[in-house]
Amino acid sequence: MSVTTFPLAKRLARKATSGVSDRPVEHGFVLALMAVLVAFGLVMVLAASDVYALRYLRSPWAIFDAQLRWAVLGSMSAFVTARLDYRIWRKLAPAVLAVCILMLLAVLVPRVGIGGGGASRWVGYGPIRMQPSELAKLSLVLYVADVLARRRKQISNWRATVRPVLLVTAGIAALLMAQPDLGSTIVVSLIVFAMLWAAGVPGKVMGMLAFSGIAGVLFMGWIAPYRRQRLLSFLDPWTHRLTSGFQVVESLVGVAGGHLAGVGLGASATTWGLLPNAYTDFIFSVVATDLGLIGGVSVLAAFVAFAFAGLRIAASARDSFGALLCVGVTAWIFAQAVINMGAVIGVLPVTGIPLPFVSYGGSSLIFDMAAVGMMLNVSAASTVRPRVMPRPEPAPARGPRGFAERPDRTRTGPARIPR
Amino acid sequence: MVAPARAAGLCRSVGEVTPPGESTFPVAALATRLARAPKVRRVGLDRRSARSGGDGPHFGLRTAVMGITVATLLVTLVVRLWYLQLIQKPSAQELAVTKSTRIVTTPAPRGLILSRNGKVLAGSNTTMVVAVTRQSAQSHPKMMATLEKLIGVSSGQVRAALANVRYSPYAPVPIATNVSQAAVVTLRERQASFPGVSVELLSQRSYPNGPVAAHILGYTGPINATQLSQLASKGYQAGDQIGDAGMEYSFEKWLRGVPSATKVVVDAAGNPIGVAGRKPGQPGDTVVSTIDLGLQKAVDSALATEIKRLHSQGFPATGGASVVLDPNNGQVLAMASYPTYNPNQWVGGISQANYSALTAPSSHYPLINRAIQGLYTPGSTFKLATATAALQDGLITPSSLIVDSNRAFTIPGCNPGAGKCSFFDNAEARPAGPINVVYALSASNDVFFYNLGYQFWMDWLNSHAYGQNAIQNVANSYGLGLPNGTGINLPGELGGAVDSLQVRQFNHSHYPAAFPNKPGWYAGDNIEMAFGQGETEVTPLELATAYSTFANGGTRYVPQVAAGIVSPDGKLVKRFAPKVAGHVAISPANRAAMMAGFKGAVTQPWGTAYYTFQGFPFNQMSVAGKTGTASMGPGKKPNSLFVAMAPASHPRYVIATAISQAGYGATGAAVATRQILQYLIAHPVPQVHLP
Repeated sequence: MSVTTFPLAKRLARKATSGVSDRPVEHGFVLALMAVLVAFGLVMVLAASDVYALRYLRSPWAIFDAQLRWAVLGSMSAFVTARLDYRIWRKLAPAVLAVCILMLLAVLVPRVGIGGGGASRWVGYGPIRMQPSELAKLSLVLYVADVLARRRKQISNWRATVRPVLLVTAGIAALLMAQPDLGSTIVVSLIVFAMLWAAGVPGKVMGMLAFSGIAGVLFMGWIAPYRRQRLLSFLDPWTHRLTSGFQVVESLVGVAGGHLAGVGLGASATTWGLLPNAYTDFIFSVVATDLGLIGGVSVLAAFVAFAFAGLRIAASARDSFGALLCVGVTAWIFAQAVINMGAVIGVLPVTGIPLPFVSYGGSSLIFDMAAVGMMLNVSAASTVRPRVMPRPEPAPARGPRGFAERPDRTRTGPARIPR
Repeated sequence: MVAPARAAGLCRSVGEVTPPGESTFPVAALATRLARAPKVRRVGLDRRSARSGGDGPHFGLRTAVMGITVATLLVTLVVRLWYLQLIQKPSAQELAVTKSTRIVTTPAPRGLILSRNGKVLAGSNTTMVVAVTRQSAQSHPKMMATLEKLIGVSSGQVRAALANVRYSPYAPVPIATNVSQAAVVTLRERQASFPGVSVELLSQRSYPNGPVAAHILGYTGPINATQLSQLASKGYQAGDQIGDAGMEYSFEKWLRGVPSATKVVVDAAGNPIGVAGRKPGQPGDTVVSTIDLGLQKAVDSALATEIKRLHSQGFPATGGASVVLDPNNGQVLAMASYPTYNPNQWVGGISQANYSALTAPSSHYPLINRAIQGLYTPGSTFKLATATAALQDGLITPSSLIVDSNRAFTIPGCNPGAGKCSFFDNAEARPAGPINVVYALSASNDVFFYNLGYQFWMDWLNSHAYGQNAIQNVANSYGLGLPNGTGINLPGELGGAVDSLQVRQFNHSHYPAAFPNKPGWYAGDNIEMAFGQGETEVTPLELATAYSTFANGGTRYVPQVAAGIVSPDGKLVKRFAPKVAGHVAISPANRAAMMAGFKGAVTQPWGTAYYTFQGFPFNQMSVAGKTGTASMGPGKKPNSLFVAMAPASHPRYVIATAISQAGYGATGAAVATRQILQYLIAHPVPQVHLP
């Protein structure tokens, strides 16, 4: 896996950093990874959707064209967020959150919310529509990062930090579950959990949160019959292979046919209508089928590399907000990738969330790329080193630890914005 | 494991030393290093690290945990992929093949039902059917509009067909049958403009002779839920046609054939995307019936004509049946029931209007096959059994005389409280004087049979020489009044009953509402039973079987409607040999005497049917017969019955005809029978032709 991805990424990273020596290598690396994944996603969307598009939309390019438009829009959004000083989001966080909640409520209004298959997940009019759940992830990352950064000194006081975060998260989760969208709820919870963890919330609280979160997910999964079916079919998809386990079995069968090198790009039979959502939630199945173990592991490795790079950017961020923002975005992309790929290869239940950058879908692509843009801005800003080291305060004998301990310093000058 | 190691080289952690407190687990260590901010770029934002100036054991522990989590997940997913793609693959692929195919069965063309002369009684019509796939209908509304106009169906009909769950989801849905040749040509020429539209040949049941033999042939219909659940193991599917009545029902297993199976490759939504293989079916076998088509038509028309004539004379004549048997093997040569229906209206599903018409009381229930389901009081035709019993038991001899002095019989010392005491013969105009059994049968002299009934009764009272049910037992051995009927291979046959104390007790205990009186059996009952009245009821087929048994000298055959089964390639699959159900002991002398009596009924001036058969060419075919005029109670016309055996010397045909509420046997049923006999003179029934 390393043979394919890393040298290329390295080269891209070097190229991205050449001449701009004061940017961390992670900056270019993350940028390159995102570009590669989006480009790869375009290819895979075409490979997975051409049959469907030809049959139902009269052109094999129909889905690809749409995804290409989204990719351009996504790149533009990433360009903008990468150039905007990320601290502006601190001020905007409550507003973004308010818009997000309004849209989440709008989804639930009949005729405003657009849906299918028993759930209402889009909002919009005509061809312009978006998934507020994507905005929910972003707004929650911004809001939680802001709250935890502001109250970093009280990180051990769970009433001051964990409670407001949990209240907002629970509200968002409730709205998401009303759609219903268990997958996004899980992703949102994981993002917040990762951020609380990184912020240094005491282990005992984290343990309780983890326990109640798992219990909550199991409960939500069990009460709705269709989700219970999915859970059961996850445990034994072959028994339910004609009903609820159908998609997973179809995916597993396709993946199994991929062997080491795959059947060839665009050659998988599952895209001939056998695998539902082949070019959206199950695109990794097409990847593993067409490109085999090599292709599948490469994509896995790309996301893992992205996660490590994201954590490294977080660790070198110039303030707690930036660090937590990076942790949140990293958790978002990586959690979603793992849940998606895990479902496709049958190690996790199917929850219906896309593979970041790769799956077809406008909302997820644009918001994912915008979020990474913010991360890039954090990374660029970290290269501006403070001239004066802060005076270390006496540390408690055994105190909280994590990113939130960092001083949330206000800079004297504007963030160094990459040219 | 390789990835983090290589990736480690990417970051600038050269020279980093594993801190003493850090995990020595390699994955954890690598992940920790990877996730940690590069040392050279550390900006001192971490207070602790800034203070200690290096990597303390606690530095970035949280980051490290996150890194370890990421690495663990990577390992899990990689292992899973590796297992799926390199270890487990063959079994999964095998399943993939079976899972993505569906079997679509197409019913085989139904076997033919032929007459004994090889003429088609039930055949198949091939019609052009236009079918369209559901996907295509959905995605090409414009094309569908053009198509609807071309083949002349409404869009409502098309929608209904597409929504009909009867049609397999994996096969095109038929939207129009009997499509014109011109439309088919247009469709085939412009195939490209009609994606998903196909023209198929559909084999449909047809009954080329219309209502002729409708009750024997029966009809087919779509399988219902009950049948489906019972027959699912035999490969029946929803929407299959199945025999619902008559021979279509009885011979279903031969007529059906083997459905062809097409293995269709389907996508996830179950839409067919190709054909993986075909297993050809096999058309149904041909059933060669014993029916003579010409005779059947003659019987149908004779019965219908006679009943219409009776209507014109003011008789209710609500229904009737006529059966022609070959007495020497039990083969049914013709079987008619009136009123009748056209089985073609069942093809492709009967309309509600037609079904209501067929089941309305005012139409007198045409679906009933009165030959096997109509129960008629036999009247004087029952005298066959009484005469046989009296002669065989030695109660009388062929020459024994009984005096009819006043056309009436009064039970000696009768107590009027215990039932009927006096019986009045209305068959003859004047007292016949001393008569033997031959005359009594010809003239249907009731006084003679009153005496026999009374003598059997007295025997039962005094000496028990012949048993309580001497007459009934003989009647049963003739096949009259057996609970299960004659055993003919047609569905729904009813069995009649011969009146007796046991029958009355049975009726009283089982149907107390219909038979409220305490059952008893007295002299009057025995006398009534002896000439075919009382609670005795028989079907026309039972009557025909009884006279066939007499005609052939005492062997009772099970009536048969099929002679053999022939496979589509012309090989004989099964031959239905004559089946003997029992024997009646009757000495040749007694039989000859009775036959003379039956012959006299149509040939002697005192015979009951003498006038009906005047001018009949007896030189071409001698006839023996027996009339029956069964009283049906106050306010109702009697049932008219007639049984004929021809030729009388060595009968080849036995014809039993019964018409309800139609007057005398001689003026109703016998008239129709004469027509049938005249047809038989001109068109003798040939042997069944089997390969």
